[in-house]
Amino acid sequence: MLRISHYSKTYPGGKQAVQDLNLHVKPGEIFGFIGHNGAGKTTTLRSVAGILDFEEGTITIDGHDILREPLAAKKVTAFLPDNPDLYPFMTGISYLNFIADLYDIPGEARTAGIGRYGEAFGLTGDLGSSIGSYSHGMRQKLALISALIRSPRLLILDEPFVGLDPVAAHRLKEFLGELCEAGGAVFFSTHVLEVAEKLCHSIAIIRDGRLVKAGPTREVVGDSSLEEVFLELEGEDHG
Amino acid sequence: MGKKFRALLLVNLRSMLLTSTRGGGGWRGKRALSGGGLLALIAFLALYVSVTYSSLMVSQLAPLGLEYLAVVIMGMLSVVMGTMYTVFAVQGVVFGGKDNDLMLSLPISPFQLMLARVMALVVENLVCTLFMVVPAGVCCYLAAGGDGLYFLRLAAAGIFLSLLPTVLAMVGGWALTWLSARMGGRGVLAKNLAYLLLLAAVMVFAFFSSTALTQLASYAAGLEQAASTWGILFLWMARGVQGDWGLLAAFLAVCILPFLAVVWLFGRSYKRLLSASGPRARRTAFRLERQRAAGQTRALVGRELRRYFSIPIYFFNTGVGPIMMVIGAVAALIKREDLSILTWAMEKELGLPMALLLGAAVTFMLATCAVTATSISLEGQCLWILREAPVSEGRLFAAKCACQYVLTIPVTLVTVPLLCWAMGIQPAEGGLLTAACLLFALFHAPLGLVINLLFPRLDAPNETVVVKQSMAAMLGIFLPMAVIPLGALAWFLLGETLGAAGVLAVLCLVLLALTGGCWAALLRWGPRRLGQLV
Repeated sequence: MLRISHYSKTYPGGKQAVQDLNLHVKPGEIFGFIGHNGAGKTTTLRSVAGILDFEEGTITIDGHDILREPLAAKKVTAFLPDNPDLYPFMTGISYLNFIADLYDIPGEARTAGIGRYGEAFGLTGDLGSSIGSYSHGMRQKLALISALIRSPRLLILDEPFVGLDPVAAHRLKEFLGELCEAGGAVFFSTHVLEVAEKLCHSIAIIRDGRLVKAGPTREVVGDSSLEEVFLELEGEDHG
Repeated sequence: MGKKFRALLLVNLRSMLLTSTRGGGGWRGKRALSGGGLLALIAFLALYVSVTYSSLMVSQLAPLGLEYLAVVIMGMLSVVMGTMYTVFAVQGVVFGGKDNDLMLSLPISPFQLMLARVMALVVENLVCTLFMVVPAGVCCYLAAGGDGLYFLRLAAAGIFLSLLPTVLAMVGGWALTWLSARMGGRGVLAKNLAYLLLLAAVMVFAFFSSTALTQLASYAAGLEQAASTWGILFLWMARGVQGDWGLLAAFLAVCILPFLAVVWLFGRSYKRLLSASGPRARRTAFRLERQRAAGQTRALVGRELRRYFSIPIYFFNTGVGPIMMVIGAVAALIKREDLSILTWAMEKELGLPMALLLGAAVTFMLATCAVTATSISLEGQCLWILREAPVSEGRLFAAKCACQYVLTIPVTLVTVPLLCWAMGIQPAEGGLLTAACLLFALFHAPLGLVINLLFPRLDAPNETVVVKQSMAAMLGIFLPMAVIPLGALAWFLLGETLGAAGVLAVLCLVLLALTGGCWAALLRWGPRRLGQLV
């Protein structure tokens, strides 16, 4: 579903954020991307989503190169940033319709999707209000609904559980499972190692822009916990 | 305490006046002092208006011993201009700042916080009042003389007068902010209507002032009467500048006391005011019904238009030109006979082609409608939404230009032929002029986008800074005005040979080439540049 080959990203100031990254996310897989602050997770996710340009390596989504066929790749992708800024001059429902129009979602399908996910996240009653009046969590939920109504093949999430209440977090986990059962894939970053360990089929750990460990969760964790593995790898770095 | 206030003041002034460009590649870290440029522009306009009209007024009033009325009138005008200008900014700077939460959490007194916020507005008004009142005072001094401290009193009057429009703008801005929070979508309409009323009031004031200025001597008694009743404050100022220290002190007190009172009151109730005016103040209960699909292009253009009409300062900063064109066309139809005579006189007596003069006026009006010049900056931190969506950059640019075209093209197509007809311009010249104006409108929109891609401002604390203060906003308005001297040059070089129609045809070709060039640059270089901005 997602293949990242020899991906590197250097910012204009000369800072190399990611170096020679190789990853493969298979259909039906929830893939966790873990690393300390500034490790290069968000940079990678934004490049995968087609938001950030890069010069080295290739990223293909469902067979489409994000640089050569950006529209085809984006059509099957949904991205949720860690702090989703949405248009404050729109209402929730007009934003969802705007997104649905950009993805050519027919009227019936969008009504059903908005109804289903809106109810699940407890946001339907607030969809007529201005986004400017939303709390951080409500904006997060609205952005999630706008991502889920597209029925993406690849869902890219940057710290999706931050700001969500426990019920919404539980619902999100269910929806991620459904998406994978339908043949889609989820690629997400998180600092909540317990969630990653329980939820992810595969995990990659990145440090200072370089991949230090990747593979099925069971293999990465082994007999210990993900937290221990992560701290051990961090310790190696600082030792 | 003083240190804290100074730091806060600097942050607020910098936020208001400085514009940093932001993006990738060679543009990173580049800073441009466009706020200063804007202040210089206001200063120039105020100086120009004041010098022109003050000298005219003083020459007529000095023989009657009423030259001080020039200071009164310029004082009034500067207050109207300042209020008009800063009332737009209050919502963004005082009530809509993205850093409100941070500011309120700082260990600083509410009075100091509000004072630091408001000082940015005072600076803008100060430029306006100083550059309007001081030239009027200088003209009076040259006509009637004064003592050694005349200029000290004049400077004090100009400085303290800036507090008056600040107070008016704060009260007006707060009322509009509160209204829009209470009324939701209807509030935007109400706010736009309120601004329109304000604009109409200013235009009526300008109309009567302009009529009165040409025959000041016969209006002198009425002006004196007005100055001694509802304009008494300005009379105190003028008399104070002339040497009446008591009246000057009274004037200064009337300026500073309400200012301090409003700052204190607003500071004391800042949290409450923000709560009452914040977007959370109004919520609606929503029931989901069947939704309809619209398609990408309609969605993108609709979003641009929705934003345009939702941000009053955006609408009024760029919408006045087309509104004035409509008003001008209606007025021209009413005054058709007089204008036909004027056209005949201009062309036969002075040898100036009316079609080109009208073209220059229309170009000026259309240039002020620089909607696209800030439309990328206004995406701000939401730019990721468009970058993530399966929308080509070309379609995105087209939607942004379409928003401007919706405003300028119908107005051009309707008003320019009407103006030509009302002014008795030959049909061939009128047709070519309409085509030239249409091509200018077509050229202006992509040019604005190119400018905004070169000078983006994605991290502005509020929309006011983007729409009013940014480099892109200024260049988007003033750069395309270069077409006016270009037209004049074409007339001087080719006028005798080709005539007005020929020069207009040449200008059409030039504008066609410029439009094509702008679109080509936008579609080739624009996508890469946009990619660097995120």
